[in-house]
Parts: sequence; structure tokens; C-alpha cells
Amino acid sequence: MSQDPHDRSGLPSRRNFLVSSSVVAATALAGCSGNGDDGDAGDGDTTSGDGGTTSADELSGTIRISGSSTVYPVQVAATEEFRADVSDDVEFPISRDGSTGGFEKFFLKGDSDINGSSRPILEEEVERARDQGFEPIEFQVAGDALTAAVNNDNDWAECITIEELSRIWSPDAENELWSDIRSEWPDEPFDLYGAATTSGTFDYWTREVVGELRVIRDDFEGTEEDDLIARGISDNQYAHGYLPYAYYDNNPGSIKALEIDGGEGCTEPSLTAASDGTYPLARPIFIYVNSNRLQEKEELQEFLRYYIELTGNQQIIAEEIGYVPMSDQEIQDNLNKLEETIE
Amino acid sequence: MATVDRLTFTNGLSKLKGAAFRLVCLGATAVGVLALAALLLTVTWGALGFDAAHPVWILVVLTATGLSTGGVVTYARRDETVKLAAISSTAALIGGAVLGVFAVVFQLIVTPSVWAAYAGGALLPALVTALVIPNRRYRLPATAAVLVGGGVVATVALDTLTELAGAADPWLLYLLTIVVPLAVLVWTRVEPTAGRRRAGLLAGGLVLAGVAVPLLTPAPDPLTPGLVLVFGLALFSPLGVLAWRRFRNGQSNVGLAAPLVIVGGAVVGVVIANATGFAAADPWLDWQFLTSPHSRLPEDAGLYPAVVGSFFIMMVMAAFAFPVSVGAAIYLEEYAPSTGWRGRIVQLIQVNIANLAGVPSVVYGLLGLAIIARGVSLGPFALWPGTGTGVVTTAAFTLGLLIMPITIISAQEAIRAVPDAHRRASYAMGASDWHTLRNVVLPEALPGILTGTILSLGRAIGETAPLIMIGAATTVYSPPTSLNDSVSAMPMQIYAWAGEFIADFRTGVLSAGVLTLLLAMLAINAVAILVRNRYERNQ
Amino acid sequence: MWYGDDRALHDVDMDIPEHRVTAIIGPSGCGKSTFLRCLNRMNDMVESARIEGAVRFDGTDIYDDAVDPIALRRQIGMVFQHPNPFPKSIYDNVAYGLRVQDEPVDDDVVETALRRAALWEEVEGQLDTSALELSGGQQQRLCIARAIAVDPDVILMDEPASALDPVATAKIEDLIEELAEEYTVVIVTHNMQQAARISDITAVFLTGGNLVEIDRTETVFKNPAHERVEEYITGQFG
Repeated sequence: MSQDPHDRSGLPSRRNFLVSSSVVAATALAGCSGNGDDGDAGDGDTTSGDGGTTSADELSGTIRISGSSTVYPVQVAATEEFRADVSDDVEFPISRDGSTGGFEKFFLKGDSDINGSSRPILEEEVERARDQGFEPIEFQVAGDALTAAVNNDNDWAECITIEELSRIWSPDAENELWSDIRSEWPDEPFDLYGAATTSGTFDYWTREVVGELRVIRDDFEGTEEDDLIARGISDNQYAHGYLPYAYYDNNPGSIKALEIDGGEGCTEPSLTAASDGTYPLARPIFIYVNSNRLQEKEELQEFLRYYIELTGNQQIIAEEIGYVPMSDQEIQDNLNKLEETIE
Repeated sequence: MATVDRLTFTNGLSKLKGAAFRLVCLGATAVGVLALAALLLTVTWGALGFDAAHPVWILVVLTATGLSTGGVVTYARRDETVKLAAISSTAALIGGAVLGVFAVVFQLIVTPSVWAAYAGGALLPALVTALVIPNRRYRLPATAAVLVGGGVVATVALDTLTELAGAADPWLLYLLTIVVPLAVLVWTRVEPTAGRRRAGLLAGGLVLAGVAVPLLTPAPDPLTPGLVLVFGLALFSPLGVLAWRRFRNGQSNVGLAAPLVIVGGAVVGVVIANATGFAAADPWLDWQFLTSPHSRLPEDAGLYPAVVGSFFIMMVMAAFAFPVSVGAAIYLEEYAPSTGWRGRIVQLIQVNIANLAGVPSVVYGLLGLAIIARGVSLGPFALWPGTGTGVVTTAAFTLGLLIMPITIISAQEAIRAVPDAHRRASYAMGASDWHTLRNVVLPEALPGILTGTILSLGRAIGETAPLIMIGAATTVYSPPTSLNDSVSAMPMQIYAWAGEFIADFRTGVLSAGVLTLLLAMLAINAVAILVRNRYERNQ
Repeated sequence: MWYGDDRALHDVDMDIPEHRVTAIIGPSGCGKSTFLRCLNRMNDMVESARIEGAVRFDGTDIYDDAVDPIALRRQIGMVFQHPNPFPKSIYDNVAYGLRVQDEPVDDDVVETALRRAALWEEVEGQLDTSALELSGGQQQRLCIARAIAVDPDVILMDEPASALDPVATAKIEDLIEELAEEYTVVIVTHNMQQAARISDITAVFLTGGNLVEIDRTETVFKNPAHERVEEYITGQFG
């Protein structure tokens, strides 16, 4: 994949990357099949005009995708592009159930082939998958800078430490007022908005911020809809909540993002900061694939090859959705992992 | 003086109470109506993209539409027949549109060649039989026999027939199986009263239109020329029947043009407004929206697979729930014992049905997931194999169970509403229970039963919770074409749009989706009202 | 004759002669309609109804187990107090009895029935219109046409003119007299003048479901055997 055109040296401004998404994706895929990993790999030649042949027209079937609403935009992008470039005989029923909801309701019951998750799979979930006779195969598809947000009229908080966030959200510390966190902040109670318990974001936040998985104070509004979190925050001057960076990025001006201090100074949430590791709340988002289905279904193999290539697409992942795309190296590792599983 | 006092004295307090109560009632009505109007306006405003339009543009369009509507209303108010024609033609077009959507979805599912196989093998021969046999007595059994026999033959020879039919263009198949028979039917109906020339013109014109429409109209993907033809036929058939009836009764047909004039006024308004050069509205609800699947980009997103999915689910649901509910209602009303311990059991069942009508829909979703989707087994024996999560059958059965208490109760009410005098008259004529039921009770109750069923379709089309529970997908890319296909429905996709990161999804695309759903629901309810009104007029 | 534990009729014993009009009169609640419904077993529809004794029709007890009430009602037609045509066309209303009896329907039968019911002239040419568009009197004559289309032996009429205006009533009364030439007519009425005008035989029921007197109409009205009947007829009672 050395000829891969993705330039990921840093993540500069968006304007430099107005490359047609299909061209990038198609070339990437052509490169893949050129390497001879798989004899009849689909060639996504639609717009690049490089004269490749379309050999995937016999590809058909249904791939059921469940899971996180955080991953949903990436799932939609991958499936939509795959149908445009490779084969529109493959049908993708996609549902948004939350990471945990998707695992519980569909993936671990063998109903879905792929489950999106905004947190790593839990050991207990892996065991249940094994009881069902399959292995959940993990692929990271993007990175997110989980954003702690406050109301636009909040003129006291600019930067907050992880420790302070933990004191806000922890069930043990009985903090109700902003001034309980820092004495110079107002004597007003905070109004908290966060992810629902079926959400992977909820799991991430409790483990990374509060310190223990699924342990959190119980007097906050939990929802699977990021829009409701944002609306809650923008309606109350003393509100605070967290949501994916992609939401904040797509709705500038509606809420104010806090800088996060993880011990090495304040960092504003951004894709750059998330990808170079300076933003403390940068988190990977994943898809998990049912290993049995992967071995059985050719369309699933072909789709994942395409999907993994697409996760490096700057235009789609960063510009259009607002997540951190995968690096060439990560893509290559994922592809290797995929081929190993298939064999 | 005393007399005068007695006549003029009124209880002021009681009067005041009356007036206050009247005001409160008026206020309650106003709140309800205004809230609904505000909702509809917001959604329409967003769906039609009026945000993007310059006020002048909006003013021009609204003025033109208002003028044409006002013109029609003023003209129609002077003449009762014109008024009636204007109202019934609008109703006929709405009914035709609903019929059209169902017909197109039906054709998408059965495919033109299978349709042609059964139409050619069974439906057409049956129609010919019905037309050829003059004696009333033998007509029905003979037609039924041909229908069943032809159906069996078509099923046996399905592969050959579909292959044969597959060679022709779909629209040609529709021309032969729908347009030509329709033309013959029109001829036989029109010829005796209107004469050969007119009947020939009508039938010939129909066939000509059947050829011209598919050839001349652009059929934007995913619609084919054949489907455009099917939709057009369904859309205008009720209007055609209405025009013919009015013609036969010697009534003027001027009023029938009313919907056309109103829409025409709006179109002219848009043309003029565009010519002014002010920014035009940028509608989210447009052809692209209705014919595309979801996309990550709001401008490319659409509702097509979900629309087809919703209507597919409704058709299967009605096919399952209608006979079961009517059967149950007939049993409970006409046959079930009403006295003794068995009568008490029937009463218990009756109360339970009424209670089931109030059970939250999410409970039906759970039931659908646990039983219908995943199946039931007793130890090693599979009692019910399970239809699978998120497929058409599961969704249709689950929603069918959901509406069944409502349809059973409304069917019972319709049956109960048949006057006892008619039953007694029938019995006194020496009719048996069965005759009375078939010839008196059911025909009279049918419109009421249909109204209840259609209204419950309107309820089912908006249900989300049970669909989420049974694992229906939020997003699918192509519409379901078989009972085992994964399905999404309008409210599922709309709900997903509400949670998108990109703001345009949550405003424009969401509004377009909600408006589509509302229009579908209102149109279905309008059909129910039409059926009921026709029935009341016949009484 | 009982409804549950309530006895509606007591020891009624009467003969109804063929091709005559027999009128049954009496005050409200005296059991005259109940008696009429016994004659074609319409009381069978009432679950709590029970009867003792016999009703003989051509020598056969119609309450015999071997008698099918459906077949019986084909011989004994009925016309009700309120006109109750089906919401079907005029033609289908008249043809209804033939259809449910699986007899061939032809236009002649329908025409004959409508002529006999003195309705033909008024509805000729509009047989396909709904029966509900007719006036009340026309509807009642249609119900009579419907009853005679199947050519029964007996026609029972339960206050057939009580819901109609005087003109329509007069027409119905004329019709009943004509019908008696071919059918046995039993008519329940609370209108004594009507009974006097049209009937050959009059039976008087008084309170409690007792048949008090039955005789030729003239006799009953001019020279009743019972004092109570006289009081009733002259308006002093009931």
C-alpha cells in the first residue's frame, strides 16, 4: 500500500483535502487487489477512470449491522460508498441501538454480522460470543475526541482537569454546585447531560473520567441522542455534558467545548489533537465482526476490505463526519488481521 | 309589576356559569387546533425549504395559490352540484393516490412477470367468464371456478409463464393485463347509455394513453415506465368513475376540475415567483427525497426504502389482521353464547380484548420479538419456527396483533349497528342464520368494518416502538421485495435522522420525513372517511 | 307461553280461518304481538322464550321437533310495525326471499309481487334505486311485496300501519282486503276502527295475555259477549 495517496502528515485544515471521496476510495481498493491478497477482490472503479475491470457484480447478500449511534455515520458512509462503488446487490440493514444495546440485542445473539461500538468490547461479552461459537473480531474504524461541553454563556470555565470532571460526575463526592469544583466558580448547581446506559460513550466516560466502569451519579439526563444532550446544554447557562466531537464539529456555535487538562496542560478538542494523542479524552471507535459470518460470507469479506480502506479517507471520515481517520499503518494492520481471520 | 318581574328575572349566576363554560370549551378547542396547525405549518415550512426563500418569493407563491383556491371556493359556493363535484373530485384524487402507492408497492413486490402470469392465467379468464355468462345464478360459481383453476394452472406453470412474460417490457405487460381489460370494461359499461361513438372514444383513448404514458413520460429511477402507468391508472380511476356517474346522472362535471385549478394556481405561482429572480424555496421534500435511500449527506438522503417498507408491512398486516378480526367479531357478536358459564367466559374475553386495545405498543414489540421473531419451542419440539428479527413478516404480524383489538372492536360495533329490524325481516323471510349474516348483516356492516380497519392502518403506519423491539433496521438501502427481507419503516428512519450530527438532517430532512409520514397517514384516514360517508349516504 | 318466569299468554285457543282477514286487537301489553310471533316461531329468537301447547298449521303442530322454523317461515310471511326494507335496491328487496330460498329469480316474479302490493306503478323503471329512497308508506308496501314474493300461505302483520300517515294507512288497508282473496291474513292492530273496517274475524286480547273473545267482526263490535270487551271497544277501558 505504499502508493496510497492518503497524506496524513498532521491533519491540516479541511480545504487541502477536497479530493473526491470515490477517487480516493477506488484507488485505495485498486491498490489492495493489485497486491494480490485476494484473486477476485472487487474493483471499485466508478469515477477514477483507471480502466480497472468490475468483477464484483456477482456479489450479493445481506449484511446486518447493529450497534452504536456514534459509529452509525461511519457505517452509513461505508455501506453507501460500497454500494455505489462495488455492488448494490448487497443490502445493509443498519440499526442504531447503542454499543451495549447492539451487543445485547443482536450481535451476541448471532442476529447481526457487525456491531459498531464506541468502546472496546468487554471480557464478559467476548465470553458470551464464544459460548455462541464465534469470536468477535475487532477493527478500529476511527478516532473521536469526546467533547466536554458547557453553555455558550458559561464565562467561567475554559479548561477543566480530568480530576475535576471526575468530581462532577462521581457518585461519591457530593458536589452540586460549580463552586464545589473550583471556589471561584459560581454558587450555582450544575445541570448534567450524558449518554444513556446502553451507549458505549457512557461506558467510556465512566471508566476514563469517573474511574470505574458504569459507576456514575444518577441525577443526570441520559440519552442516546446527542442532539438532546446539546439542546439540554444550550438551554441552561449552568449545564454541562459530553458528546462526540463530530456533533460539536457539525454544530459550531450551539455549545462551547471545554479544554481538557490531563496533566500536561490544557488542550482544545480537535481531530489533530485526538490523532497525535495530546487530547486526553481521545478515544477509538470500533466495529466488531462475527468471525463465523466473516468466514462464510464472501460479501462480508469484500465489504470489510473496502470498509477498512475507507477508514483512512480524509474527506469522508474527517471532513464529512468529523472523526479522526485511520493511518496507513493502522489500515494495513487491520487488513492483515482481516485476511488472517478469513483463512 | 309582579308579572313583569317573573318574566324578566333570570338567574345571573347560572348565565355566567354557562358563558364561562362555553369559553372554556372554546379555549380547549382552540388550543388543540392551534397546536396541530402550528405543528403542520412548521413541518411543511421546513420540508418545503421555505427558509431558503426570499419573502417576496413566498408571498408570490402564496398569493397565487390563495387566488386559485379562493376562486374555486367562490365559484363552487354558488352552485351546490359544483361544490359537491369539487369536494368529491378532491377526495377521489386523494383516494386514487393512496391506491396508487399501494398498487406500485404491490407491483414492486410481485414483479411484473409474476403479475402477468397470474393476471393472464386467472384474473382475465375469470373476468371474461363473468362478462360472458348472462345468468346471475351461474355467474358467480363459474367465475370462482375459473379463478381458482386458472390460479392453480398459473402456479404450476409459473416458471414458463414468467419467462414468457419476462421477454416483454413490463409496461407492455401492464398494457395487456390492465389497460386493455379496463378499456373493454369501460366499453361495456359506457356503450349502452352513451352510444358507440363515445364508448369507442373513451376505450380507445384509454388504450392510447396506456401506450403514450410509458413512452412519453420520463420515469425517474427507481420507477419504471410500467410503474408510472400503474400509478397513473390508480390515481385517475376513482376520478374517472366519479365523472362517469355524474355524466350518467346528467350532472355537470365542471366542478371536477377544482383540484387541478388549485394545484395549477400553485404551479403558476412558483413559475412567476422564480421569474422575479428572488431566492426560491429549496425543498427537502422532492422527487429525489422520495426515491433515494438514506445517505450520510443530507442533500442525498431520502425515504424511499422506508416508504415502500411501511406500505409493504401494512399490506401484509391487513391481509393477516382483517380476516382474523372480522372472523372474531362475527363470532363474538352472532354466535358466541351470552348466558350461563360459557357466556361469562365470552364476557371475560370481551373485556380482555378491550383492555388489549390499551396495552402500550412496546409490549407488543416485546411479544413480537420473543414469540413471532424468535419462535416458540416446547422442549425439543419447535411449535413455531420464528420468522426472524427485523423482517417484513415479523413486523406485519406484530403490528397486526397491535391493531387487532381495535379492529375487532370496531368490527363488532359495525355489526351491532345493523338494525335488528333487518335481521328480523330476514328471518321472517325464511332465511337461515347464514343467509341473514351473508346477505344482510355483513353487507351492511362492511363499510363500518372497513373504516375501522383503514383507520387502524393509519395508526400502525406511525408505530415505532414495536419495530425497534423486533429489531427492524433504521436504515436499509433497497426496498424489501419479499416477506423475509429486512425492512425499515418511515418512523424508524425519521427517528434516526433526529439524532444525526449534521444539523440539516435534524431540520430539513427530518421535516420532509415527518411531512411524508403525515401526508400518508392523512390520506389513509381520508380514505376511511370517504368510505364512511358513502355508507352514510346510502343509508 | 313464557318469557323466562313471566307468563305472557294464557290458554289461548283460537282458529284462524283460511282466506280471511283475522284481526287481533287489545290494549298495549296484552300479548297480541307475542301471540302473532308464536305463529311463525319468531319467538325462537328470544332465548328465554318457552311455549306449551300446540299451534296447528294444516293439521301439523308447528312446534313439533320435525318442523324446521326456516321452512315454516317460508309458508308464513310477516310484515312488521315499522317498515324495514333492506338497504338494497327495490328489486333486490323483493327478490330477497327467493334468493335465500334458492329459487330462481326472474323479473316477472318481482313485477307480480310489486303489482299485488299496489306499488308497481310508483316504482316502475327505478327498480335499481335504493329502497330507502321510498316514502314510509311505499316502504311498507315494499315489505308486503317482499313477503308475498315467495308466495306464502299466511301473512302475519304486526300493526303494519301504525307508523304511517292516514293516506298511506288507507292504501295499506285497501291492500290488505285485496290480499285476503289469496292469502290468509292475520293482523295485529291497536286501532279498533281499522279492525272493524278490514277484518272478517276479530279476536280480543285483554290484559295478562288472555284471549277474551273471538267472533265475526260485526258481532264483536256490535254485540260483544263479554262486558269487558264492550268496555274496551267503547273506550271505557284500556
